[in-house]
Amino acid sequence: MSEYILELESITKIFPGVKALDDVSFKIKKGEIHALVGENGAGKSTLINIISGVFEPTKGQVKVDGRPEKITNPGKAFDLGIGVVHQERNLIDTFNVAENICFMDVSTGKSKLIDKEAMKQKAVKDMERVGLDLDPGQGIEELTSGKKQMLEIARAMCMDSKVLLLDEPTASISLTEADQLLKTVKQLREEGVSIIYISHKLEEIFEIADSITVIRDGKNVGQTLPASSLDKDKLIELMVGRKHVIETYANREFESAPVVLEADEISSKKNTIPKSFYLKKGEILGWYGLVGAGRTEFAREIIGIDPVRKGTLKVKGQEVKIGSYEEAFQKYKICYISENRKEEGLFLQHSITDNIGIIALKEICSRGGFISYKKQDEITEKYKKSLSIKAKDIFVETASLSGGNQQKICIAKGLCVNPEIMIIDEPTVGIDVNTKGEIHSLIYELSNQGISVIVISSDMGELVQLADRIIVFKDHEIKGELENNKDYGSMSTKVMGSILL
Amino acid sequence: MKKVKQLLQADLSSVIVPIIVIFAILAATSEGFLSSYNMYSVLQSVPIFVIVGLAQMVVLSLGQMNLAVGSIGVLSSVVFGIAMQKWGLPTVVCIIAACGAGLLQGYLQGIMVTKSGINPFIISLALLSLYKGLALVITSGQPFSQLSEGFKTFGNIKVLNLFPATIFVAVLVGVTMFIVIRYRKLGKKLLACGSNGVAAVYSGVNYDKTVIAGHCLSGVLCAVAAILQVSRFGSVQLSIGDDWMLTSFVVPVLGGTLLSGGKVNVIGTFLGGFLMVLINNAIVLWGVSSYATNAAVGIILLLAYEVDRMRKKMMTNQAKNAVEKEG
Repeated sequence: MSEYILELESITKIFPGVKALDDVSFKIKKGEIHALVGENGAGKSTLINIISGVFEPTKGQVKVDGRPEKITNPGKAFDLGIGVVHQERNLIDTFNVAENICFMDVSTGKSKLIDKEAMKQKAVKDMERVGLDLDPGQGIEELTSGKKQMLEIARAMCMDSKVLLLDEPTASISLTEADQLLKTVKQLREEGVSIIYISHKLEEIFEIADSITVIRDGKNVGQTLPASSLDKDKLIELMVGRKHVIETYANREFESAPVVLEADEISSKKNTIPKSFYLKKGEILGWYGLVGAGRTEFAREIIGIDPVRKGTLKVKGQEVKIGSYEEAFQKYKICYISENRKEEGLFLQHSITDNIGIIALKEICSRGGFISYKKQDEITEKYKKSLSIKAKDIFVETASLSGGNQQKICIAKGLCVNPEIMIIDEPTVGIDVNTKGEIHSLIYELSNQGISVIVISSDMGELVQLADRIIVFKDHEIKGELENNKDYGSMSTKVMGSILL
Repeated sequence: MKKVKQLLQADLSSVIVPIIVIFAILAATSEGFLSSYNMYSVLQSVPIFVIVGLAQMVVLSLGQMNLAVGSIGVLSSVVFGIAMQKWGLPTVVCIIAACGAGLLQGYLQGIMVTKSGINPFIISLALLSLYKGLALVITSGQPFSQLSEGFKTFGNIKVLNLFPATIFVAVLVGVTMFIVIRYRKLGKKLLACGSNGVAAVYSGVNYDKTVIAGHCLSGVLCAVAAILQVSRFGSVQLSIGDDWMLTSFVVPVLGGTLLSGGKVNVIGTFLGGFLMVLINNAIVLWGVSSYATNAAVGIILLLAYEVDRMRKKMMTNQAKNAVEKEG
């Protein structure tokens, strides 16, 4: 018997293109609530996926109750007494409450035949444990997201789990439901269950956590600390940490600069809340908000993917109707660089030069419509040099490059259309610190050349360092607009202030 | 082991090596193999396999599939037969009409795939049955055999006492396809849509139009293959295309085309067609029951899928190694 129920030793995980975890270790005592904190993309979800058997670590070892174990699949994790509630809901909509709770029993082959009565009784018992009072025969579609969340916890606990992993459990549920959830979590601790709790909400963490492990850029930040030895500011400092690493850019004056893009009360079919803002020539405008605040959706309205229904959009003073993204970048020189490099930005199995070629089709075609690979390679070489893309040559597959270099190729693709306005969505998610600085200086340089840039980010430090002005989004609405004085302390208070209002 | 890896990575060698091996074995074990009669018959089958393979390759480049290759072929050849036998139109006009019919059928498939929201697999499966059914209804199952003499002889001309004239058509089609895929905008757009549809849209490619164009091109190629088949038989048979579907997948995949889309190899597809014909020839020459051909095609298809999967796995591993080196 060991003092620790779960120990992670030197866990490294490499995905094609990015090192998600680098030598991460921590230990969880029996019957404690252990908070795992870090910024977006720090590697928390990857850790959860390794503990729960979704991924196998590239290197390192997981010990359960002192014994080294290879958790090769989620079923194995359940057998070892590790219950997981992922960030996304994983209930089966067409099953009723009892079937959802007891699904694990069936899928792990513990009971060969389904006994409906026993299943119902078990479901009632499991729900009682987490303080949930539902009819086991009820369908789950009409349940609130909070109830569904509790149902998932009941399900994770139905195998008498010793460890419960909760990934952002309160992200999408109401306040009262969140209170109920925290109560349940505390009660489970009393029963001797160890809980790994991941959350962005620091108040919650200080309310329930016994110890805290901080992860940044896929690495441990110091040792695991008892929660009582930290306060909010210290914790934020540990999480962000890199404030000092990256340059903060000087304040600039835009009083006399012309407005290049102006939205007046625009809304679309998907988001009917009217939104207004303006963007000046050569300015960097930050769009701050948490994930799901509606920033990407708003960008999609501007670039014509979800066309504007009401209100007016003006490009350089002219009222425009943009019906497709093609129109946005060809006619109005607005380009958008997606936050999902892999899903929406790159052709991963294609070479760097082919990735660039597809957007530069016009430039690389001769009069007869034949493609000149010489021209394509010339253009690519030019960007490889000016953006200092690190790769063996321009013919390597983009899948084999690191996240930072992939992002640079995405930016190069954007630049191919000679944009006047660039919208860059989460430019540095999943990118290591050094390349992050490079990308920042690149964006700054572009703005100095007269390109107006909108940077969408949930990394406040990034926006404070980079942006000239910051607009704050919450619940698909613009909540405030702030001149950026480039001082992290006062800016973060102001931004948070406008979110809470 | 390292050599095997290198071979698998080099797309073309995975088709050239088997060709050489099978060729050598056949030359050594069967007396009849190298005879000019057998060689001629081998080469006569190659064009159909190659062009049908290319028809499938175009759609595979989009990451989709065309199950109706054979049915498009047979319906196009029926149009050809009607134009020539009933209306007595000149051969060139008949060929154009048949290609037009192929284009139209491909267009219909493309439109349905992009606009209807029905599962593409079901669409293709339904059209497979619909087109074939139409061909049978129109003809009541009767073949057309009163075709122009010149056209019939074309299918059986020997050049240099070895090469059938049709092989030159296949080479011409192959070269055209190579140019389309590599040097025309359409080719780049097809591969972009197949590799990552969303990224293609964000790169300014009109996804729907590209998909429709791909299906149209596939339809025309099916019609071309059917016309060559008719010319060889000397009549429009309603059995044309019945055995095309499976081979149409095997041929491009053997040649290094990814089933998931975004990566094709025209030369490989050409050689893949040749390899398929050799395998069929081997079955005949070794006196294996012709019923075994179906089983063999099934096994080859599975093997080709496995090679496809291994290729992909290697691609991800390479990517991982690259990260490890960097960091």
